[in-house]
This record gives sequence, C-alpha cells and structure tokens, in this order.
Amino acid sequence: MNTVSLKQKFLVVDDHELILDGLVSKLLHQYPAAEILTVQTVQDAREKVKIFQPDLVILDLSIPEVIGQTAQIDTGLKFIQELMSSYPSLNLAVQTSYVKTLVRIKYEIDNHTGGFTIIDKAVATKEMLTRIDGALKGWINTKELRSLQKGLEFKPEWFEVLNLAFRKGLKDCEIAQRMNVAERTVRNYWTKIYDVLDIFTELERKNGKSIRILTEIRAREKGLID
Amino acid sequence: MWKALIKKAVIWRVGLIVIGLLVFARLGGKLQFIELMMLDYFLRIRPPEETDEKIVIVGIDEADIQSVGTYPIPDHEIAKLLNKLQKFEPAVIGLDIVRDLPVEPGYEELITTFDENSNIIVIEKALGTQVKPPKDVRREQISFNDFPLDDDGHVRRSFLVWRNSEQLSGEIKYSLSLRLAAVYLSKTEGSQIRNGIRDRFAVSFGLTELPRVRPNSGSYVRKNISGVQVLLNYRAGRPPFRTLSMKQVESEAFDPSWVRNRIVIVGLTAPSVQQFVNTSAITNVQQPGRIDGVEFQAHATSQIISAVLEKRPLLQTWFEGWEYLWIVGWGLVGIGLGKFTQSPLRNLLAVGLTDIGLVIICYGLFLAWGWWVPVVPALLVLAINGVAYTAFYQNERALRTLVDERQQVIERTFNVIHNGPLQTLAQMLRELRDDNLPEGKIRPSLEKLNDEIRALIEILQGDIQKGETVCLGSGKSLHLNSPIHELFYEIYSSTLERNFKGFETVKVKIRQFDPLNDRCLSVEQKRGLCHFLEECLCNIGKHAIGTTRISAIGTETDGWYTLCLTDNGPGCGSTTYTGQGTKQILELKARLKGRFKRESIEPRGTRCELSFPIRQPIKNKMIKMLRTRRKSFKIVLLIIGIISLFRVLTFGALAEYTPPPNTDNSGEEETGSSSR
Repeated sequence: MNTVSLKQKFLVVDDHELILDGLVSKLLHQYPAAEILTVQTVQDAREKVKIFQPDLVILDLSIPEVIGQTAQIDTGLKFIQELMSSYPSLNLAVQTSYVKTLVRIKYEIDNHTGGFTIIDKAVATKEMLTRIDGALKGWINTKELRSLQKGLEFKPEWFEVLNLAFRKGLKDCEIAQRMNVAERTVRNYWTKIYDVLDIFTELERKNGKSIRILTEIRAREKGLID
Repeated sequence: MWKALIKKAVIWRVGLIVIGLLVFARLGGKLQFIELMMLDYFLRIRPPEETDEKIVIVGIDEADIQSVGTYPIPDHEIAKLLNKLQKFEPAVIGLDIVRDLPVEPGYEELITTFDENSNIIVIEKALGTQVKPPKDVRREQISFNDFPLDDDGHVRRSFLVWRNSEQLSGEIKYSLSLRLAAVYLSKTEGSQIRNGIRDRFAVSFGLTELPRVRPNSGSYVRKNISGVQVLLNYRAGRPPFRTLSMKQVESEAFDPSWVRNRIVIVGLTAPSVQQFVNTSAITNVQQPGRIDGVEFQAHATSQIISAVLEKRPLLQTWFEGWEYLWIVGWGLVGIGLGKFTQSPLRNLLAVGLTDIGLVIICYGLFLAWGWWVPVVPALLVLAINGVAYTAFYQNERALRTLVDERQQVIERTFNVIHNGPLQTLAQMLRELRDDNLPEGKIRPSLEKLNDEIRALIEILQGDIQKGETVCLGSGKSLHLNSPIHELFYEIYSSTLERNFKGFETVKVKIRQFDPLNDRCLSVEQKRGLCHFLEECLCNIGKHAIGTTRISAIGTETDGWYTLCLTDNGPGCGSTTYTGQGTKQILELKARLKGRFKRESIEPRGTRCELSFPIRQPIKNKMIKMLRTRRKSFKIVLLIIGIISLFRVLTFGALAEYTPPPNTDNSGEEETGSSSR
C-alpha cells in the first residue's frame, strides 16, 4: 500500500471512545501526515464536515444524534443519506456490524459519485485499511450487500453503458451524448460496474492488465453481453 | 358507482353518524340557542359604524318628567313638543308614546296637532294585549310598535307588516319603523313600498328587498313568525343615533340641521317609566344587555333606510336545503382531514386551521353581505369528525394491532429461539460430549450461533419500535414508516436471497427503485405494495425456471408510479396464476386506483407491471372537475336566470304592497312593545 505524502484530512465518527482511539492510531500509522478529526455525534459531524471539508469520512452506522441519546442505526442511515445529497462527491467509509441495513439506502449509494466502501466490524485490520484506502481513492466497494445473492445486480443505466461500449464500441464521450448525461457521470458508472464485476482496478493495473478489456471479458463471462 | 358509495359509507360510518346526529339535533332545535348567541357575538364584534345622522331620538328623561311635574306627561306638553319640532321641518316624526286615552289638559290641542300634521306617526299595540291608537287619527298615521321576542327574551327581529289573522281580508297594519322609513323614503327618494321580486311577499323599496324571516330561517326551527318580519342588523358603535332631551328641544339648544328633513322619534328614556329591549348584539356600556325601546325603533328604521340609500347589508339567510348541504359538506371535510392526516398533532393542527378558516369565511360572508350562515353546526361537525372521530378510530385500530403484534412477537420469538440457536447449541453440546467436535468446527458453529441471535434481535427490534410492520416470507420484518423505495430495496434483496429454483440460474439483475413521495399512501397501501413486490419476485423464483436475467424497476412518469418486473424464463402463457396472490394483487390495484397487467414477452419471459397514480394536489382536481362539469354548471345557471326573469315579469309591476295571507293563527307569537 502506498502512503501518500499529500496532507489528507479524515473525519472519524464513532460514539465509542475506545474504538475511536484504536482507529485513529492505526490511521496515523498508515498516513503519518494526515490530519484526523474525531467526533461522537451526528450533530458535531454535520458541523465539522461543513467547516473541515474532509477528504474522507469514516462513519459508524450506529451513532447518536446528540450526546446522551442512544445510538441508533436509523440515525446513521439518515445521516449518510443527508451527506450523500449535500456532498455528492464526498468519500465515505461506513463501519457497521449490520451490513444488511445498508440495502435500504441502495438507491442513494448507486447514485453517489464519491467513493463508498463498507467495512464490516468483524473484518481484520488489514482489510479495513484497504477499504479505507479504497474509499479515499473514490472507489466503490459494496460487495457485502450482495454476498448472499446469485447473479449480478445492475442499474439500468450501467447496463446501457456496457452495451454501448462493448456492442457498439463507443467511447465515453459518445456514450455520454447518447445517454444524455455528463461524461463525468459515465466515468462514475464505470466505477460502479467495476465494483459489481469485482474488478479491483489498482490491483489489476499493477498486474499489467487493461481494465476495459478485463471488464469486457468478465461481462461476457457473466452473460451480460451476448 | 353505487357500490363504491355504499362501501365508502361503511368505512366512514362513524363520521356519517356524527353528521346525521348533528343534522337531527339542529332540526329538533337543540342548536338554536347557541346559534343565536353566535349571531349576537358576530354582531357585537363588528367594527363600529358612524352615527346615523338621518335619525334623531327625542327622549323624555327623568329630568324632563321632574320639570313637567306629573306623569303621564299631559297631552298639552306633548303637543307643545311636537309643534316645536315641526318648526324645524323634520321629514317625519314618530311618536312612540301610547295615547289611547286623553291625558288632560290639552287633549283637544294634541288631536288638532295630529290632524294638521300628516307627517306625525302615532302608535298602537297591535299584537297580544292590544292598546288602541289615539282617537280620530287618519289610518295612514297609525303604526304599531310591537317587537317579537326570542325564547331567551332577546330581540333579534323587527316587524314590518302584520295583518289581523282572523279575517283574511283583515286590516293591514304597518310597524312604526316601516311607516317612518316609507314616509322618509318617499319624501327624499320618491320610492314606494312594493312587493318583492325574488320573494313576492317581502317588502321592497326600489331594488332593495327586505329579506323576510321564515319559520325555519337561519337557526330558527318551526318558529311561529307572525306577519312580515326582518332580522335586525343593529347599528354597531356608540352612539348609533343623535339624542336630544325634551328640555333641549324646548330651549332650542341644538343645531337645527339635526332635525331638518330627518326622521325624529319621540319616546321615553326615563328608566322608571319605559320598557327596555334586551339584546347582546351591541355593547352598551350604560345598560349592559339592553337598550331603550325608542332606540330599538331607531335601529329598526335605520336598517331599512340605510339598506335602500347606502346598500348597507341586511341580515339574510340561506334556503334551508343549502344550510344542511353546507353542514354535511363540512362534516365530510372533517372526515377527510381525519383520513388524510396520520399523526394526531398534524391532525389537530389541520382541524384547528380549518376551523379558524371556517369562522373567517362565515364572518366574511356576514360582514360583506349580511349572510347569517350556520357557523356553529359546521364548526361542531368539523371538529367532532376531524379530531374526536379520528382519535377514536385510530386509537381503536392502534390498540387492536398492538395487541395482535405483541402476541405475534411472543410466538415468533419462541419459534425463532427454538428452531435456531437452541438447535445449534444442542447439536454442539452433543458433539462436544461425544468428543466429536474438531477444533476447526467450533468457529463456524459459534459464528452461526452469533448470526442466529443477531437475527432474533433484529426481529425483536423491528417489532418493539412503534409503528406498523410488514413481515416477509424470509422471516424479516420491515417498518412501514420507512420511505417506500427503501422498503422495495430491502424486499428485493432479502427475497432474492431465498432458495428458489428460479434464482439459481440468474446472471444479471437490473434493479432501480426511484424514490416517491409516499405521504399520499396509507399504511395499508404500502403494505400491499410490499407484498406485491415480494409476490412477483417469488413467482419468478417459483415459475421462471432457467431465467438468466431479472429486472425490477420502479419509475415515476407523468404522475404515475410504475413497478415493472421482467424475467426471461419460460413465460406465463402456459402457467395459470389464479391463486390467492393474484386476488390480492387485484385488490391492491383497486385500492390504488391503478392498472395491472401480466404478459409474456418476446422472445421469452414474463412482464408484470403495476402502475398507480400519485395523488395530485386538490387544486388540480378542482379545476379538472369544473372543466368536466362545465356543461351542467351552465344549464343550472340558465335555469336560475329564466326563473328570475319570470318572477320579475310576473310580480315586478304590482302597484302596492300586499302582505301574505296568514294561514297559521294557532299560536300567538310572544311580543313586546317599546312603550308603556
């Protein structure tokens, strides 16, 4: 894993101080130059996101609205929705023991343009750091949300991107025009497609593979394009 | 159409019963008292009006009686007062003092004064115990000064005309106020008394018709109305009229323009000898709740001439049918408010605001046009239906579901513990006892146990938190309070995890559920939609064997939300879906007023589609209704026009006023008189 020399800004939201301390020390070890802010409630987090403008928000799903209230998953879900609609390109890493509840905000996750990764609280530290790094780089990783289902889950738009690219052989700018969206949006669709097809771009590039070609191969394998 | 109406009536039965009871109570006169109080209140809170300078009251007060030195005031003094007033050329003088018997000295002098001045009007008491007018006075100079009393002893109406009921050709008698107004108006405007056009027995001057009180006008219920009467629109503000004392007149201590060409009413204002008129319609600081008899006559006269000359509104009421339509209408609004506001607080707020709006509308109608609309029954029926009914209904429903849910929770918890963690534990224990459990197997077993207990917590949490839930076949239960598209995602995910044969071959799933404003959906409708999605997905799992592609898409277009599910399985052509599921879907379709279709698609597969309209704002609906019913509105207007024209042609040309024949002479109405 490469440590970036740029000074990064993290906002960590968790209501358990022990977990906060542990997480912060791990983060500091990984990103020695990073500036890390910690808060324990939604109210504080909302304020800090506005002022601090972090590169990444690491968020526990079960948090209280204000100090003294009980931590609830609903509160966290609402806050994530709020963050996604106010800051569509904010990078988010969500920690939780109840991964499944995130299905409820699948619509918002699908439409989010920033990075979004899910960290099950049960995973090992190394995997957690990988997910955090992924979110920071703007990747999407929602593998846990579909782990139990068969088949690949697609939004109609992503499907169209695949068709236009691999059946008609169009470039991104042309696809954007056909679909009547911005080119940036098409690129965002591609990251979502990589996520669904389990293509870890960083890793594959290192292995000297062409991401687009790999995507086509995988898509054909899975029967997405005939 | 009728079936739907009856169905609605059953759902709304409590509200309809409330409306029925209120209408019944009003028909029985139970609301009359409170409605009359409301009328008084409306009259009392009006902004003050200017003093009516066309009328001046000459009041004989205690000091005047003291200076005359005797009571009754001798005829000589009265004649002197009248002759003094005549010097200032008033348009008409009303003498609101009984003179049936001579009060010497000066009887002859007074009779001569009446005879020489035709603009002096004298009084008699015509109803109940009769008091005769002065002898030998011309018929045109005689009027009666009775006033009708309500059950609470207050006066809210005044007489115009009365005909002796015993003979149909009986003598027509005019009230003091009508006589005074008629003389004044014929002198200043040249307008004469005529029969009305809209109501042929109403009194009218020129185009102004004085709305007649009927036995069931406004809140009155089978009121015995003698003769022709109008509701009295008391003049607001103090003082309503200029007042002079007898002494002031005799010493000529006033501006002559106060009397010239104006109406003068002479009466008693000394508290010891006069009769008061009770009313709460005006705020009178000196004598709360009552006014002098002579002032009452001035109010009655003033409202007639102000209506004719200045178009000041006269109090009028709706046709009885409209009143009940109005009450029923507000009752339905109340039911509507109860139905469409789910939370009690919002319900209270909505009902409160609507109540305030209703009062404002009624008061506006009252101020601007003098319409006395049934505000109290409408308020009552709206408030009862809006708040009490909703509270009652929702509370009952909530309680029932709560009890049911608790029972379910207990049963389900027992089942889950029994089938899940207990089984796993038992198995582990057995294997441990047998020393049969290898090291590597402990971890997965513990993890399984962990999952099972967590699932149990999820179920319990879902149930214990308030609000309605929907239980899915997968054992999961969801909150119906969440936005509907979030529920769709959860149902979609959890259903596809189930072990159905149709899901095994799936390679691609396309799914998207657009958010929609689900405030217009009731909890029941949401539950129905959730079951619909689950049902369709299960159908694919059960019947669409070999499908490789599933798409589930919810989109909103042109005010319609469409849920569309497609697969590329064998298609539904051969399979018949006529089970319980389809029945439920058709019921849901009817409840949502939506469309549903299921069909095979080319080259292979099935499409299942449910669309339903998302509620439009009420404004659009009204406009639409007006547009579609435009023709009927036009026809109604045309009919009203023709009827009015017909009435103008038939009755407009009558030369003199003729009162209605008195058909009912069974019960005498309670009346009072403003003098003696």
